[in-house]
Amino acid sequence: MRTKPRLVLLLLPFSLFMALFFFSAILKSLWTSLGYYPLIGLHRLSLTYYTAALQDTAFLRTFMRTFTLAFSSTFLACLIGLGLAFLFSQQHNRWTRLMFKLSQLPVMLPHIFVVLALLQLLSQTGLIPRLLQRLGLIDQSAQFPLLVNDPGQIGILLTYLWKEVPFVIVTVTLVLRQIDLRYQKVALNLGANRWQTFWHILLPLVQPALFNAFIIIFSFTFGSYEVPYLLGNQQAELLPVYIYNLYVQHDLTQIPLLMSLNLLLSVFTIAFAGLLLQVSRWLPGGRTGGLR
Amino acid sequence: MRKIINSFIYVIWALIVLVPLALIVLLALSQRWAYPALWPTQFSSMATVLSLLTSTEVLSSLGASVALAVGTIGLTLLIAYPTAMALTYYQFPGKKWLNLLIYLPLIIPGIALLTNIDFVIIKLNLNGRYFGIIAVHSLFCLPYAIKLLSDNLKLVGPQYAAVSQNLGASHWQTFWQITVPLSKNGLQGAVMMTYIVSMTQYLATLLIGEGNYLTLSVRMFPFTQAGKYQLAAIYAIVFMLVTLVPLFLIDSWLAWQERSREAHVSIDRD
Amino acid sequence: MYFRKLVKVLWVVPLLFLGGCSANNSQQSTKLPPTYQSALKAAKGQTVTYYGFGGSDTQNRWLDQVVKPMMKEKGITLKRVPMDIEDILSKLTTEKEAGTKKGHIDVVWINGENFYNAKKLDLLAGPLDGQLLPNFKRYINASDPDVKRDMDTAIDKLEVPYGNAQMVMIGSKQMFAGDYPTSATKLLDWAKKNPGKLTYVAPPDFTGSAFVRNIIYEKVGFAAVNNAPATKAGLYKAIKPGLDYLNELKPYLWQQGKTYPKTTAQLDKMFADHQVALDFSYNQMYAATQKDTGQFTDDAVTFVFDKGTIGNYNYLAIPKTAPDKAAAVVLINTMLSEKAQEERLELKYGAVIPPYSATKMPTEITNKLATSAQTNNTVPATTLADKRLPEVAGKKIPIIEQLWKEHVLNAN
Repeated sequence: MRTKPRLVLLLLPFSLFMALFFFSAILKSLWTSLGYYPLIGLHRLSLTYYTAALQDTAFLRTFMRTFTLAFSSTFLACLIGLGLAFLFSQQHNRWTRLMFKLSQLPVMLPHIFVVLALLQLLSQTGLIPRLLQRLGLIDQSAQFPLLVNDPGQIGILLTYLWKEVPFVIVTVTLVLRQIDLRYQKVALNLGANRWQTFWHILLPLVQPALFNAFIIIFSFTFGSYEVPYLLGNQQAELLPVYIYNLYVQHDLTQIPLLMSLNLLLSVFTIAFAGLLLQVSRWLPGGRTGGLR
Repeated sequence: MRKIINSFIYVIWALIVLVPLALIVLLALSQRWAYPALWPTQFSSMATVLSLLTSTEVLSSLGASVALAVGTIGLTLLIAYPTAMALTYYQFPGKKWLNLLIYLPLIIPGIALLTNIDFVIIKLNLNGRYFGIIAVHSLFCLPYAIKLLSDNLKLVGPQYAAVSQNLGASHWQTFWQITVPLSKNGLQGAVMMTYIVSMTQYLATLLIGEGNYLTLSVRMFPFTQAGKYQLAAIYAIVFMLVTLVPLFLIDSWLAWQERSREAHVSIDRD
Repeated sequence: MYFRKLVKVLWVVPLLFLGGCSANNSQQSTKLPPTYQSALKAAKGQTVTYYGFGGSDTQNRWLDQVVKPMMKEKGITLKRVPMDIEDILSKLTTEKEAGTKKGHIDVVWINGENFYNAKKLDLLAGPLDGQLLPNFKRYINASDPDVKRDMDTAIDKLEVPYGNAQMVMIGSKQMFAGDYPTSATKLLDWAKKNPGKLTYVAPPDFTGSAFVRNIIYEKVGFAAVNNAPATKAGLYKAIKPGLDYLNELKPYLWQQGKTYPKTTAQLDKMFADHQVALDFSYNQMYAATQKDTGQFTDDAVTFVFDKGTIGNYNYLAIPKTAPDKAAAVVLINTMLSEKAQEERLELKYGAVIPPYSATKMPTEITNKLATSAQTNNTVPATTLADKRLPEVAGKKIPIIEQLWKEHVLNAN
């Protein structure tokens, strides 16, 4: 019944679409990054831009810093999101439904809104310091710790958490809703405690979705510049901002370097995503492949 | 005890989600709100805010946003659904790679990629055209849509479809009457994410759109960058409304369907 | 196996059309109209598309409420597209790469480094001069330094000034107790007595970058920067005293100079909240417009350094790929008209000083400027003109920004 031609038919739209709109663009990036850029008279292919980037310690430091932030914010988002998702699907009543609805809100809003709100709330003359000052907990606004453009990147982290925790909640809950709650009840009847049920029954079931969410969030935080551009600390610059500043200068001789930085970033993220998928396969949920 | 802790978490969570949103609304309404005031010292007149909210600029950009989002949903589902089915129900060489490949549009940073996509779109003579823009929007929606759908289809499993076909239903019948309804949750998630991702596209809409589609994001983004907080907040409110209302409607409709179906089933049982 | 074949075939698709075929070669690019009269005639019934920074609501309002109706009278529809200049340049570059003859952008707001890059890539159409633009002839001397060179790049009739900008400082009356730091030395003294109450927007922000250059001028003078070669080593040698000064100032800045606001908006807010005593702007009347919308109070007083501040112009240009060059010419001429420029002095339209030459400035505008400076506590136009310092070469600006990053921001 499941014949090959049908498979090809199913894959055709995606493949065609990607080839036309995406791979052609990637291919062009690749050529440019290798130094083929006729617009400014560059015709010879070489790896100079890549070697230059990889030998630049400032770049490598920025890279590590970005990775650390992206990984930790993603990890935290998944952890908190998973916890809340389970909490909200423990029972099915008006309140949990309301919580799920609430969690959908942040998913729907662009990051830039969060930045807007965060600047008003947490900057040193923001609402929270004002409130603390009014309550007499701090004497003046400068005593409030710097949470925006701070060296510890807390502002960026908070923004990402506000956006991505709900994303995890929504993704996981969509799966949990589909799972027959009977599995859980059977396990409980058979004498498993809550923790065992969670660990052996529910977690493996949501594991694929959770890993997907992890990869999606990680890729996003690793590569996007809007939030770190507005909330980051200049001394601890992040990779996407570094690349964005190169782009803004519009110095065409820098474009091949820009493209090679971009592709390096991408290759790394792909490798990392691949690794995560592999890890997911080794874990219990991967072996059983979800329900089956 | 457990109940108290749970309620406590509920309240905290609700505050974390709602306070920033409430703040944006207040920001849109306030004329002056300088340190150390805890509450805006001066509000804009309702008339000003209303006229801003209903200005032709806001309304026309709203239309453009929705038009693009609807098209993007169509195109994305058209591509994502078969792909998700292939990934869920078939084994084939290269499947591992395809699973990874799906993430690519998310992984590759936007700025550099977009200038090259722009090049490709110009070459295809699609720049400034509806299809060109929704194609690029779809590109960034596909990872979400495919993943949400395939996660969901995995849970549904192929058994029902197999049963249906064994009972003599055609492929199409099976698809429309069994597979699609069963993947309702995944579809809902995919539609929601696609709608949002399309609505929030800024640079793609601007570069590919050639100024023909000045969406809410296109209008709003410069204001947030330039720190025109009040204006940005007003756009943000419009944005929230057009995002939340349709998604809420879809949600309610699905819930209503569910309930009526459950009612049917219980009647049947009786 | 089908899948593998499919993959192979699909890799070929992009290669094919990237390599060769082009969809746009059949189109012809249009030329600039020979005279303004012919432009007016040809443009009737057309739509002209203006591309420029969209984050300034006052500028948007001016275009929508003043320029648009004026264009309508001439039978032309004005479409305003908000886009940052780097994105516009990237768009024009892509068009050139793809061989587009006829694009979608008619008029762009451009200046400085961006003009340098656009000119280098041969993206702009010319000549735009008094022959073609009657209002240019009427109000602007072609020999004005800012009409001949934009950040030291020869303009060669490829862009036309349409707004005057100059760096001004905005101080808090209360925090400075009426004694404003009108030199780098006074600024440092004040900072030492009041640590943590000053900061500036980090370059490469436009205004932050201008402040850094202004400090460098204070320390070494414009000539030294201008004469230095446009290399990292050469410029470093020339501007070192300026960077040293900034390093000396650094520990007395907000957060000991370990972090800086990212946008002018952030600095505006810090200033409005009295977190810092000093704000900067490239718009001479900025404090007045901010007061008008309730962001600042009468506490905000505008001043300039005794030795002067950097001034430049905003320019308009027409890309080579502009689809309707006749309408573009009419738009530029309209934006340069006395009526449009006089309206633009209103606070709600941003209060931008016209780019007119001093000798050709209409008396009504001169009067209006004088009254406005008085009522709004800003610096009079004549003083500003006296204290106006030129910009350095556009290509030097990214280098100076880089040097600031290495030697000030990341210095230990």
